[in-house]
Amino acid sequence: MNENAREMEIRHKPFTVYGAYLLLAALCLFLPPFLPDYAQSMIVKVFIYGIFALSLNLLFGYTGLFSLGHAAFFGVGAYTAAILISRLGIESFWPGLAASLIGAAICAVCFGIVALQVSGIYFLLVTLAMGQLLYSAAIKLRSLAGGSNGIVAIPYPNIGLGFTMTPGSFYYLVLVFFVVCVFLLYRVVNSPFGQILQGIRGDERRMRALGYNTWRYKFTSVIIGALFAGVAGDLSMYQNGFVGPGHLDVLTSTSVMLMVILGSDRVFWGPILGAALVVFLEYFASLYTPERWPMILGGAFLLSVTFLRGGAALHLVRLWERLRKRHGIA
Amino acid sequence: MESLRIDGLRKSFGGLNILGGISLTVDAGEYVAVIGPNGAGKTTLLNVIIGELSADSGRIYLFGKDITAMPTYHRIHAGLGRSFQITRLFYDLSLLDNIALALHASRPSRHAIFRRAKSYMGVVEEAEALLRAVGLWEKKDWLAASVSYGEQRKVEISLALALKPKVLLLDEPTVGLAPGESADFVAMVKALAADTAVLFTDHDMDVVFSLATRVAVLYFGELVAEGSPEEIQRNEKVREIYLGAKKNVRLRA
Amino acid sequence: MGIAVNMLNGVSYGMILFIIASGLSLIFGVMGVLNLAHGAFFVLGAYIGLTLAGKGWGFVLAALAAGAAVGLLGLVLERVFLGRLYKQVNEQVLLTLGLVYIYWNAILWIWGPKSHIGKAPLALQGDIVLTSFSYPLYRLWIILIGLAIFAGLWFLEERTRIGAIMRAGMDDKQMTTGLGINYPLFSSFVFFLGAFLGGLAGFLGTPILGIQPGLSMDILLIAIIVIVVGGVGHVAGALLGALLIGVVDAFGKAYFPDFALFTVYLAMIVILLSKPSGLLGRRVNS
Repeated sequence: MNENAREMEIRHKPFTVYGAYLLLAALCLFLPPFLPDYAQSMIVKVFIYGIFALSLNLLFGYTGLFSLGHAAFFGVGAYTAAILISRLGIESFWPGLAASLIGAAICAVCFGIVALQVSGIYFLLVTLAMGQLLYSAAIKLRSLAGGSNGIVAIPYPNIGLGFTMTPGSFYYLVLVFFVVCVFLLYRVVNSPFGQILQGIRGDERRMRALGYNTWRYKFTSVIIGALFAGVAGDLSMYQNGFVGPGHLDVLTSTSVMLMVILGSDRVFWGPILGAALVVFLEYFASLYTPERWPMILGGAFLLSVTFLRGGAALHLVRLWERLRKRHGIA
Repeated sequence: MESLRIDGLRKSFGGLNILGGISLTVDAGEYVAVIGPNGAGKTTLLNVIIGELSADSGRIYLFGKDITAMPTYHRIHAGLGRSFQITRLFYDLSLLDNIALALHASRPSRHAIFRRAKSYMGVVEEAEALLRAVGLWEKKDWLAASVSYGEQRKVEISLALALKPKVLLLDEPTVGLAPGESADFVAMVKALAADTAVLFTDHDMDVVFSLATRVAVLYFGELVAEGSPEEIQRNEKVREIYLGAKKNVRLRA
Repeated sequence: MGIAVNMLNGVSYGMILFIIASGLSLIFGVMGVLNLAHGAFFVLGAYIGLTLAGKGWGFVLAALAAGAAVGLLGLVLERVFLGRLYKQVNEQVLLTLGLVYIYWNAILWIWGPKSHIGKAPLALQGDIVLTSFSYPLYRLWIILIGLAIFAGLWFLEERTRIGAIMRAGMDDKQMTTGLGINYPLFSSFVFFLGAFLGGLAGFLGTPILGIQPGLSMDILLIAIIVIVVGGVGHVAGALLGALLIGVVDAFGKAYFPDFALFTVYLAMIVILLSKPSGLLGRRVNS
């Protein structure tokens, strides 16, 4: 059976795919001002968690590192910026972002050095433990990090262009970041580095036999993943107006993993779809049965892992390929 | 010139002696076959030389340099290369991407994070050439998982050859190949650069005697005989070990 | 509070940890599945037991019934979901992840968010006087019960045929069926027993730990730490790890109230890095 390599690579981009991108771009740019506030904030959430989930998939889907501590980078990103704003009085957006990146990177270095000593399920356990370590640290550090209440009352970002940010303009800020992050990650996974990561996921032993220092690549992917997660955390902090230990704990790590799996870890944009699915599902659940939301999420996840293997995006891509061939669409 | 020299390699697993003091030399341009019954330690020997297993004692020298303590990926850069007995490909990637991975390993592009892998035309062309050499160019975009076993085996060898190693280790390279394909393989190896040293193991005596310039016999972790293919064929001890094996092995001119 | 009291606290708490951890270790060590829903099993067992006890069931009966109910749940889980994902460790872990969400929410739904404290059976209530201080009788009994369970599991592991299969790490379907062992029965048994122990621990722990839905995750994490520290593969590992963690926790809470949990996680990381199979463990099949 003839199959093209790595489902998301379409050799010569068909006309229809460009058309779809254009439509999506137009919607994202022009629709939101007409949407009610809650819808706008939902889309913002999709963007933010989309970045977060993509960053996890760099480790999971591409490098094969199953981590349940990814929220650590997300939370550290949020916390460092929040500390800068509330404890050090530095209100500008950009130093906050820089702090997020630096904080996430330092965290990633520690994680990488420790967790990459082991592999497989032990790697999972170490990442779990390290995430929880940070979580309990966040609760203990009452003066610095606000203890179990976290840091609250964070205003919208001040990007230094001389105007006060509104939810509307915040939307566009996040959109810009989303586009930039997606673009950067897309280039990373399609570069030789990205290929090497996939090779490591496929067969690390073989990669070493080809001359690759696989540890260094895994370590680098953790750091890159952490940087993007930190950005997501930073933005999330602004959207929520606060950051708490919950940003760091195992439930956040598992939620983002759920998004990756639901969307697909085998397709580049799968995690974004997963984030969207979870955000929209959660919204609808909140309308009818808000208390049963975790159960619905768990159920959707269960069905996906058992019956819809590979994730929603993968099945969509396959469906699309079949339709294309059958009807001869370009 | 000595390309590879191993000196008194010993390896035991939990009390079981797999390798008991092996010493062997492979010069540039030599094709040395290591033969022996199953369980004799052939794969273990190769694993130790490549660095996936560490020897309990003994030394390994590559072009005179002691590589005994080097990690595997370092040894590859020093000129070693290997193929696996059980095919190990990147099944999620296309044949072309598989070969490309082997090619990037020795190029500065292995550090590239931003430029599209497909845009490295030099790598792409060389990968296509390697696939063409084994007759798999038409399937270059096929997933490695979806080609036949024999074709996968060819890719496996190609991966090792792509590294252009100066010392090539081949672990049972013709396993699962049809006779015609085995002949192709022999031709492929003979076409390697003249100063390449090859150390290989195989059960197919036709391949061994048509390719090897020297044969070493491994029996339960000990090298019991070493010499030219003709000498080994006439060796009484070897005949004993292979009692029941091919009696009609023909001498290749 | 004297050293003896802290010690006994640590050991009795450790026994509860041992019971739940032995279940987790069984499923992990034999089947190679890290059952993230095990904490939910614990909580479920506690709630079911409490409900039954509230309806007038005797303590022992309630405990066994709660364990059995949870054991049955584990069985169903294995049959319906995990069986399909044979040998795919990542997917199995992810599956149990999804289950955690479902169970936790279901527990919240059925029993509400309030925390409860269980009551020891009448015969075991009250304190007993030991040399210079008095100590809750129930906690002492938990230590004995824990040791009894350890003895039972040890016997199973070392002296029975099933134990031999478990020790050989035979989670390979083809290998075991080839030897004439009924693999589906074997794996179902392992899951039943593992889940049973989790649920039993939950109910037995209610007078000591109390119960509330959020415990699902917390106790899971501690159980993971226990089996990582103590080692997977031998029931003695779970006991050693549990006692260690229990005692460290008890003394930690007494002398360094701010740092107890921190040190426990740190200990786990250290062990994982130096001896991933734990103090008494064997390599896990995966």
